[in-house]
Amino acid sequence: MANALLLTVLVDQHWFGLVLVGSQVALVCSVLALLVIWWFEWRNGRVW
Amino acid sequence: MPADAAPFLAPGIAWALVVLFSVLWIALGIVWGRRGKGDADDYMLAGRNIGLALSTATLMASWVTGNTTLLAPEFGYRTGLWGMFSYALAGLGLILFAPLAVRIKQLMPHGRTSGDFIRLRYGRLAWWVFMVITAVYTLGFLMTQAMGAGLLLQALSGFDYHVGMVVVIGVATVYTLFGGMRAVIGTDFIQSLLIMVLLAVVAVLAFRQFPMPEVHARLISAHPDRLDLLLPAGLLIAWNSALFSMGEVFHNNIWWSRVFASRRSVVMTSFVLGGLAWMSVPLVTGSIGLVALARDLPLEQVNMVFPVMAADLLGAGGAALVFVVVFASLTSTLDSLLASTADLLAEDVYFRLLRPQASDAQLKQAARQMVVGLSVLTLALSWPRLDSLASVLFFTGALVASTVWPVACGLYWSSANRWAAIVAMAAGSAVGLSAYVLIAPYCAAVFSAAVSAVVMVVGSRWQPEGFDFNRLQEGV
Repeated sequence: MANALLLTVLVDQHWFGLVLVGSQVALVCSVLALLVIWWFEWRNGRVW
Repeated sequence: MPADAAPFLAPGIAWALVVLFSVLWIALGIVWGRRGKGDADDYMLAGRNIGLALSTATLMASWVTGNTTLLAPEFGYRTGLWGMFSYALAGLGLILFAPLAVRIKQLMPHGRTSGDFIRLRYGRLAWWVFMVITAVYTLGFLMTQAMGAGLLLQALSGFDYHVGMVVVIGVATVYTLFGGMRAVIGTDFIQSLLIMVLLAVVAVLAFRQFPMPEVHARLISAHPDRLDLLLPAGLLIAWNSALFSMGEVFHNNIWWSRVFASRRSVVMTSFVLGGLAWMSVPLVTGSIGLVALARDLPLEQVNMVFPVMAADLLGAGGAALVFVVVFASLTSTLDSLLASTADLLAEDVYFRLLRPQASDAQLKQAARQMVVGLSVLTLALSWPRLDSLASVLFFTGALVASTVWPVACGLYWSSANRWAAIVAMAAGSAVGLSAYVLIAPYCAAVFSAAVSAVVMVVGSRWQPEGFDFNRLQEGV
């Protein structure tokens, strides 16, 4: 039991929130980045 | 969920969504397929000049499978944070392939398939071993997506298993057949945006209803192991996930065809961006699994945790969002698999092996026939309902991980020996499969890659080959 507790690192609320919010922000940023890149390439005729 | 349980979405709404998106994908596929010169290169590789936006989106969409939207929440539910992290580490396959992609484009500017590379680099016998591995993997992958389509559409909307499967495969086949790689890549762009936007909406709405501090507090009190960063099983699964994904990406023609189809200047960036963007998907869907765990939601089948949560928190609207995400995920993966595998068979088997004198038009026609043939074969193999889709896919991890080192060494190391490559793939597969049976499924890829690496390095040091890389350019 003592060994099991020694080998346990629980994520606290701060880091838990950071992981979850960070992943959602990354998802939204990916969408925006794709749209911006597509827009620039479309203006320059470089999509295909 | 049992087959007779109530669906999350009314069948009428589900059919309306299926018709709407099917018509959209097919119409766009046909329109995009009319662009370009209309030769075999255009059909198989979209003209070899696609830009960063489409290249990144097609990598991302092809890598988001039905599993990413349903298995990742299950991983989060069962294993907690490490379940999410380990699934997300599969994105490493794309990121680590980025420098190799640049090297491939440099060495084989006119290449068409991964089979081209293995045949020219290591000879015909190595090509046969490689083709057996890629055939087993691709058929397993196609079957899991087809069966997943039948099972998911049945669970989400009450469709008959066979009807759901035929609809998804049929739609992907029609636009791939008429539009080729242009249709696949163009629809992938829209599908990837759709998947990411809808997932973000579901996640934000879910956490508004059930805030993060509350989720954390419930997990700490009832399931602290799910928040443990040193969970031994989690660490092992993470290693296996990373190596499995490397095997999948390094050998499969889905990713090689994207390298050949992309403009040289965007290859590196698109693989890195595609991998990073993809990683956020299993993290977000996995976090939905954590919410379900914190709420102690009763689940009859754990792999349905994502639709159950969406329907529970967001009602019929949530179920409709999940339905669209799943439909887009399945079609975007199936179209890529059909197109790139058809290209592999047309180029490597029909053209290089059976009819080297075939004209450009005949090669294009062969690729189209392969698309239809693969669809029919997939439907036939998936018609009987099999259980345990994940085990089918895990099984192939032992095989594909054995190709990582032969591919990587073959691209950079002139001493890499063809016999070492053959033995590395065969021995790695054999040891990986033994580990799968004797130890645990999630050890298979680790053992396979380790044995393959040792054989490749020792064999090539013992008898260096001295390969001239110019032969790769001259041979295609």
